[in-house]
Amino acid sequence: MTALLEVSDLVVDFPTSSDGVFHAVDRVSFTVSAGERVGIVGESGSGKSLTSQALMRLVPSPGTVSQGTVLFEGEDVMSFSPKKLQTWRGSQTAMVFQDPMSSLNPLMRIGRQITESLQVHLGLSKAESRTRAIELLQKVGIPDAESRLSDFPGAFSGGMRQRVCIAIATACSPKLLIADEPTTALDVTVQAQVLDLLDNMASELNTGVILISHDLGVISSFCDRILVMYAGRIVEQGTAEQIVGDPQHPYTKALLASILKLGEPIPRRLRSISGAPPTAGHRPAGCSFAARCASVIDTCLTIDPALVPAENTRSTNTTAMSATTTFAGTPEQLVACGVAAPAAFAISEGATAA
Amino acid sequence: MSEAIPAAAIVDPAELGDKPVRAREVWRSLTRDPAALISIIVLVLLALIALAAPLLSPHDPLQTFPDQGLGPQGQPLPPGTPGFLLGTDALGRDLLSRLIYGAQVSLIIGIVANGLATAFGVLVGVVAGYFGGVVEAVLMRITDVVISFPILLLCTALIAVTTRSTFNVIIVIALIYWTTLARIIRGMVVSLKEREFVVASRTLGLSHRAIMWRHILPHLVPAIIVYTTLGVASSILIESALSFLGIGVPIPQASWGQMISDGSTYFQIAPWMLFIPGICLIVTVMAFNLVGDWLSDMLNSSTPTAR
Amino acid sequence: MSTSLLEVNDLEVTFRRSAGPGRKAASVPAVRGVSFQLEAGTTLGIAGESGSGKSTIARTLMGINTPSGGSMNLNGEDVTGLKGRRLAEYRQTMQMIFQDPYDSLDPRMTVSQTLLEAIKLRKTNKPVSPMAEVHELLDKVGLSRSFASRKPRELSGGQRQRVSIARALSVDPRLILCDEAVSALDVSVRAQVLNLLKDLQEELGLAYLFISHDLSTLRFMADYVGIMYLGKIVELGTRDEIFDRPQHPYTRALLSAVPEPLVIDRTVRLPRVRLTGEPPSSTNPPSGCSFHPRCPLAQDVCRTVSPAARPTASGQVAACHFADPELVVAEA
Repeated sequence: MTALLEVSDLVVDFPTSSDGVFHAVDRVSFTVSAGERVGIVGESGSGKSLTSQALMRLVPSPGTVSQGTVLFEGEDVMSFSPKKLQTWRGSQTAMVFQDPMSSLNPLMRIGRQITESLQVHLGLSKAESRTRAIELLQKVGIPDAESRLSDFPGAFSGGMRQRVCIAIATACSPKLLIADEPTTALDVTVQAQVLDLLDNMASELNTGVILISHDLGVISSFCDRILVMYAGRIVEQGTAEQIVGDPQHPYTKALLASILKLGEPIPRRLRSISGAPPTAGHRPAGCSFAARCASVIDTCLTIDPALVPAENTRSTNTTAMSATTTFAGTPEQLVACGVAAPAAFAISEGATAA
Repeated sequence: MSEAIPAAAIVDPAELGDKPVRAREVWRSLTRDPAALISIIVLVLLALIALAAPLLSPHDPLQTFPDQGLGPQGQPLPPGTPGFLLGTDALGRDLLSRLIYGAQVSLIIGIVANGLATAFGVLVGVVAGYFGGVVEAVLMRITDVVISFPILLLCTALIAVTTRSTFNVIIVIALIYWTTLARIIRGMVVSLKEREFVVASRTLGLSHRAIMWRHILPHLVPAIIVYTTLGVASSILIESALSFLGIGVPIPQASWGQMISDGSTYFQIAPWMLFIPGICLIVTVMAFNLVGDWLSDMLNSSTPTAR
Repeated sequence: MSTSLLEVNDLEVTFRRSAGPGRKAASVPAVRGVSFQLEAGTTLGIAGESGSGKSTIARTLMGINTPSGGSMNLNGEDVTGLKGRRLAEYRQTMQMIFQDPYDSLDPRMTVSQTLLEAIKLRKTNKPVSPMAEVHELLDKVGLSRSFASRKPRELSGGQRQRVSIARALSVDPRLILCDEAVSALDVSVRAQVLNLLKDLQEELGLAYLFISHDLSTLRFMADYVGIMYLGKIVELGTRDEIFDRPQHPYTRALLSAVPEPLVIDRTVRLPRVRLTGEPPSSTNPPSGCSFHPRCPLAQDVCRTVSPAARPTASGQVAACHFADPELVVAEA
């Protein structure tokens, strides 16, 4: 299966006030296949939203994509002409944002907002696009779709607006859907509905989905594969089972430990990660997580670990290796930690020397 | 937690924490806005001229020169006449001296009238916005009533019942111009008082006066500065309009509006009498407006409270 | 009963919404007959979705909103509708921590200015050396003393929330209302702040009214939990009663909607209840039981009769016609 989207070595730079640059997204590489759900999880400032904006070429000023390639079905997105970019954004990809109110035009009727892109990108007639818009609204579970076409966004509740946004996003049957914190502003009962809806839409259209969230619960219940970002880098990636069931990076472990789970006994104290992530432009030498890491060793402070295949017991276990059934074909688990996977230091050393 | 505004996440708290070098920041902002820089220079010059009026003006602005100051048919002299750099008016008074003293009058009226209006407008706006309810309803209805009067008509009426004096002109302008600011400030206070840090100080038991003084007023300062600067321009204009209508600064005192009024009568034979004070008025009003705009841009981009 | 630190009876709060373009003036019942008690040193958690009225309860207790009915007793004294000086005194027994760490501190004041202002307002036990107290407060909330001279913009979200906690502690309260106090924080920082709140409770014997939409946070923090829906408490009980043996169908739905890392998800014992629709507007609550349009168990009686809160077999109080273990199981 060829990848729908292939991002390699993506770097997004922001100028710092001291005339330097700061890599807000630092050498991020990943792929998304058709129909695959990839989750990016990280805290504020980890660069998860910027990554998605960068691959849509929507990095807010003064940031710039200074390095890396983004291939969409083999074509280089970074070299698209403005016109091609526009068509591509409208018809092949779509985004759903956190705040459904600000991503809808409050002064335009819902119907017009849906039919607009249908007419522009699919060349449908006015009547056709109207029929299709009603269909779309029904599909996302908006009752009384026909009469609601003439409503303004203000007449919808938060959850309903997010449904409308999903209807707009999926109107042109995009191949790639980026959902940036789509449920953060919604109540839990509505969040579950919206996630179900995204899930259905994606499987129906075989759309590749990138779901961005700070909530590991949301990410792991929705995604096939998870990227964990910290301070602009991917520090661990793997299948949802690998990340949640057998995390390798100390950050992922700590993150999982600090989440409260309803099904587990209540701890007297929560395990927390001390300190705070490095502030922008103040990336320490060595591993960015070293200052907060429980299993830090001297090398961590000097050598910046590379993202290498994990050396966890499960996949290196010889009997498991011989079986090679369960993990055959599934992507490898990668980790950027020299303690969990010594190769991370070795490769990185070579890189810095070169 | 959200990354809705990624740019904000990029702003380094440690960098912001450095005490901003105010003067340098202001200068940087000015170099990017040459119009504002020129305006400031113009206004500073104007202020200096107004202050040094007695030293700078070649003649007494009120003195008529029936012989040297008027032409053979008694007509005003054009600019460039020896002894009268900018010419004379219909009574043979030196135009340059009148212009310089007129600047004094315009600036005093603009600044004092507007200062009073600002103080009153802020007071009404803060009290109405903060207390809400009946207090707000009463204050804002009064504001609405004042706003809905045609300004010139109101001035005319007010001046008609008093005597014509500079002091009265100032009072009348102040009585009219507080309304806009009161409305703007009220709007800001209504949203400020819902901010969590204001609610928090209420729950701590801070008095209303202390909350308004310490937690609300400081956040209004940038807006007050901007609107006051813009307001000076309006006040100068309204004074000119009043003088033009013959109800402003009492004659024979020189004011730009008065001079424009005189000039319009002799427009056919002595157009400079109209144009010279007219240009001064336009330049000054524009300079205040440009500086106001620049202040607004600068303060809004550097004020951490502007979210 | 009389030993309760805080006793709220039949609290009603109604907002008047003025007419605007396309809508009529209306009265919005935000809180409809809420009663609960809170003992010293314990935590009552209140959960509910947006618009359920949970924040209004906190704001009413703090005297920011005025109740339209019911009573509030603090230490056995009726504090409903207090004004002026008495209100200020009463407020200090109770303090509040807000949701938005970026908005709850005056951006123009340094940490020490903020704390000093609060310390000087204390009615009892006047401070001898205010600056020493600032340092003491910073120690208490786990911030180094060097933070005293910083402005809010130089602090991270977690640090700001610690300063907010210090400010609340500065007037020696007995009860702290936490309104979504950790919701805006990143997961790793959230854990630090929750631990701090627990430590402070042990050390100072504080009571918390902990309001959150996040059930897993409540499960960690609260001794008692109330679940709110459209201005009413629909279920109230001990933490274990609510989380292990929920009786109200809404509580069950809320619990099953919490997304959790999937490995753990497999062990969930409750039948998965997925709600359709969204909470109705509180301007015009549905007849009978407010929850009936979304309830999987709804019967005719639910459409007409509003269920009273009553004790259930498993201990807690629930407002549901069918809040009986056997019935619920049968229907589900």
